[in-house]
Amino acid sequence: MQVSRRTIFMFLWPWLVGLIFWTGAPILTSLALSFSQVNVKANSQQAAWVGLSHYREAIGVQDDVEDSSASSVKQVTPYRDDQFRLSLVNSLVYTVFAVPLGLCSALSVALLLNKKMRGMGVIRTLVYLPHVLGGVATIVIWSWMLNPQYGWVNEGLRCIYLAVDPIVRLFYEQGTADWTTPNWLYSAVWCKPSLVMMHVWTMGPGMLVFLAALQRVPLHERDASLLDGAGAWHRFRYVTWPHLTPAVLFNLIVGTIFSMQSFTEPYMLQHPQQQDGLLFYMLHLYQVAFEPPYRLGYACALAWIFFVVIAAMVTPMILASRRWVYEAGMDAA
Amino acid sequence: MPVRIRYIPAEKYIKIILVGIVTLAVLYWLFGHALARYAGEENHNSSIRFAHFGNFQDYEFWGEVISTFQQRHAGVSVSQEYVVGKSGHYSTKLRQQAMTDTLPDVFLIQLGPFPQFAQDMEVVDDLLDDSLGEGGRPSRLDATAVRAFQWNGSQRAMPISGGNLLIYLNLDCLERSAEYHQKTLSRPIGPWTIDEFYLLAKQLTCDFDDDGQVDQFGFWLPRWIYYLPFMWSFGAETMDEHGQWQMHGTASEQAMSFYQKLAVGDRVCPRMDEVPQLFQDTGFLTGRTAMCINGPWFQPFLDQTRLAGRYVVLDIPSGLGGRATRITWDGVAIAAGLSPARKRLAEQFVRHLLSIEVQSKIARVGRALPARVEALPMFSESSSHPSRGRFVEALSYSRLQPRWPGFSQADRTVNKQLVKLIDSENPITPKEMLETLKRSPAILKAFELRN
Amino acid sequence: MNSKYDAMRSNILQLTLLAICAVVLLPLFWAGVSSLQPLDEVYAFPPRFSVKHAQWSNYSKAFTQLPMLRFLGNSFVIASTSALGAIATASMAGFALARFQFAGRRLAFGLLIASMLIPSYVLLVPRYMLCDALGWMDTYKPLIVPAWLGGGAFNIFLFRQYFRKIPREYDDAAVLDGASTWQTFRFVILPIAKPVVITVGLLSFIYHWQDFLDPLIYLSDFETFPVSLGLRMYQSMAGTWANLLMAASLIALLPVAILFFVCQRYVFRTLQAAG
Repeated sequence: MQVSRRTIFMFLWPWLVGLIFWTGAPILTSLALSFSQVNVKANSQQAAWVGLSHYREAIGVQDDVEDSSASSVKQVTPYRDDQFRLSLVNSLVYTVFAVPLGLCSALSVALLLNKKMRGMGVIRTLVYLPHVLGGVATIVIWSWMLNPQYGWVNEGLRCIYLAVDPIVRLFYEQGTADWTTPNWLYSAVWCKPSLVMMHVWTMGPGMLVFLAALQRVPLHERDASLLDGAGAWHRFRYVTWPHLTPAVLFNLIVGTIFSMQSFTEPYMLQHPQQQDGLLFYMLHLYQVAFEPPYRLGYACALAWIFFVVIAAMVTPMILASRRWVYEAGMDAA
Repeated sequence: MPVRIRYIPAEKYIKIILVGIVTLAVLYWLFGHALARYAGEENHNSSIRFAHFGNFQDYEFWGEVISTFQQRHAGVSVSQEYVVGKSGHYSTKLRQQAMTDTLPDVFLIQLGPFPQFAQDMEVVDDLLDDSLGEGGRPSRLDATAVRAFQWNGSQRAMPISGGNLLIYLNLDCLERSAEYHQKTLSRPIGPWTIDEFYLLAKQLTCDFDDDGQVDQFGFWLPRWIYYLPFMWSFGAETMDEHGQWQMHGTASEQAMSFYQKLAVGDRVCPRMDEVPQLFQDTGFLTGRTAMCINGPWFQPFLDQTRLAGRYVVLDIPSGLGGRATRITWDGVAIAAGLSPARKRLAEQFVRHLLSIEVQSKIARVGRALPARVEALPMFSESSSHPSRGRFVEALSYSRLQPRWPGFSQADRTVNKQLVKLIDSENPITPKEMLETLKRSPAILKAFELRN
Repeated sequence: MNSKYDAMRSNILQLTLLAICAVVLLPLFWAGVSSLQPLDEVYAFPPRFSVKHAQWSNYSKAFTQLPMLRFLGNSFVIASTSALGAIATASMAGFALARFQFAGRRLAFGLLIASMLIPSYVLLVPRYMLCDALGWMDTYKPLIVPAWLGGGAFNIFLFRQYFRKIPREYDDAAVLDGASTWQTFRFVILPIAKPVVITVGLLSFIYHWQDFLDPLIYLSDFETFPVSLGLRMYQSMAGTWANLLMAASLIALLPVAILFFVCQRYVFRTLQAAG
């Protein structure tokens, strides 16, 4: 649609004002801080320019000009941040599992709930509830659900073991007797799957987005395919799916961003027994910024590195989306 | 689709005027306050801000303290800035306020974040003078408490209340074990030794139904910081006055071997997954663990549960290094850079907090020990529980936990190693653990950043 | 069509739905049980699921120990005004990005995505400075005003995705009828987009209902606390009143659940209208 500049501005101004003042200015401040050593002394902020040394510290490149910089700014630490890589890998591993699983479950549940049936409204609400509960209550509940000895998750696993025992015995004399159940939150290996499970449980928002998108599937298209005698899969693939693709792209991108930046759950569920398994990037960043010695400048550098990492994940998704996201009245995106 | 299109000029003008009025109103709402401030209207020399943390009981407590202060000082108002929950969020918010120059005039501060605040000169440094009145005299206060808030030779905050760690014993568990072993188990009346502690802890560890799984554990140790009293009793050290890491040598090794023996060898201490451990000491509450180590704040909490009257408090057992327990103090600090008038008000309020009136109120509530020595007897009398006075007695052998800015990183590192030490399948040796710690970058860094 | 096959399918569907509900509800059931127990039973090991003597007093305590009604009211004010702002301004920006042809459009979309990528923790301090300079501390402005300035990049993105799926014929027809761009947007596109309008409203309402960090940082006066802060008042050094916490959490859950139930019907009513 060709419109005048004035009209464009009329629609965009609230967002632009927010973008400039509420997002842009703080972002630029954080960029500037990432090159500085922030010292708070006697109620006056002092920021000393330290160039790229925060970035070097994170990535682990040794400072060549250590001596010259050390004389001007004393507090620059030459250490390599050994938690940087670890936390980045943790976040990536979590995201790689949490996003596809969350997406699939949200989509399949949305498809199931997009039927006309008595009481469907109640069921939709119930499925959404876990997301609404949130906060400390979720943490308390899940730390119980995942208790290795008495939690219902392991209780359920033991039931499954018992059920498959006769089958396993056919191949293996011992049966399932020596199968163990995971230690979940108290294990370096299983703590991430625990979080993935919690993520899937709170799939509400993704599901809601899919449900809203499903309302755009024109009934006549579906009816036509029904008349053609198309199978369920065929109907989904060629009638429903094209209408869902914008929502899939949205959920994929937003899910990736949220998973990479997830903080509250790992923050509240972290435990020494995980041996830093839940030390996610945001957690590391938070500790750097808000625990003594409060290195805000370094935290900003960490944030900007993270920005690049997430951008590198999201940009291909958007670029590739032109191949598979169907849009009405297409113009080149 | 119906589309409403109107071309009536008069209505258009009214619309424009209305939009104008609304816009102005919104702008005033958004920026009015800031404009007024820059016009210099705001000049509060009769009100100060006081920040604290805690749960709903703490909120009520500080509200009462403030209202008595306001009654005493007519025309002065104190705004209560309350940060919910545990201390982590509180120090985050304080830090944010420090960086933006909006610290509350007076605020509670814990020993954890204190060193960095003192180092960065966020708080006034000339607290110990006559302006704080009688309560501000060091002689009236617990000596360790006063020392806790000194930094580089000056008093940067005043202690208000504190807590030391002692051992809690569940009497129901004791009876159950006695029945199981079919003999009377004696609990210590006065001071006891680590050997006696070990014996009792082992006797309290029972597998009632003989299924090979321990049903009642003897002792629960949540984190490294709660093991400090035992380490000191063994004669081990963590760091010296100059911030040098001292956790090595024979005594430290013995202390760690003891911990390993408790947790792995004798199964006296449960693994983390064998108790509902999300929040502190819930295992003790339910009789899953017979003993735990905790501070005075635990007692009023217990007294609201079914366990009230069914537990006692025991001393820290003594070992080769004598006996010592860990104490932490909460202090109150005044933000640096206040105007003289405001600073006077802030001092008045701190004087109020150190007054015998407020200090005895702290003592009577019983969640923490008062910093003022005269109020201590009231703590002992604050409940009919016979063990109450033990926390006051233990002041004589209480030690400050190490203070340094990088403490939380170092603490996490030690905890991770402790977990490896008590790993049920492949534990590391105490020597290996101490060696790893000595070389750990997190610990080296913690010291490096101190200066 | 085979009716027997259909009947079997609907049975399978019902069974699957039942299973999903069970999985979702088990943890919530746990919350309900613990909200009725005395404190030591909540922490009992092994856990108990029966409520021998239901302590309904936990619920009355949740209302008397804390001013729950006030907290709920505060939360409602914050969440509803923010949700309205998000709907109003995010839909406008989303429409512009979805429909208009202009030079900086791809740049604008890039900025939109980029603004979601930076971890918000490093923006806390600069934003705090801004709010302090504006005199916004201890007011709801830092929580509400940003919602009226675009309402979050996610919402704009969601609107854009949805608007792009609406056929251009609608716009063209409206323009042929003499509607202005604004009128096309307001009276043609928005009504069609009702499902996503309600979705954004709900998501943003729930986000602000649960938001903990922003209220924690910008609000200091107890009287202004939303319920997300109030729930943390059961935690302290000594221990956590998990039973009261659960009771209060479920109370806080109820208004949102009702709102969701009411709104989801509007999402689906469009199904019939638009079809």
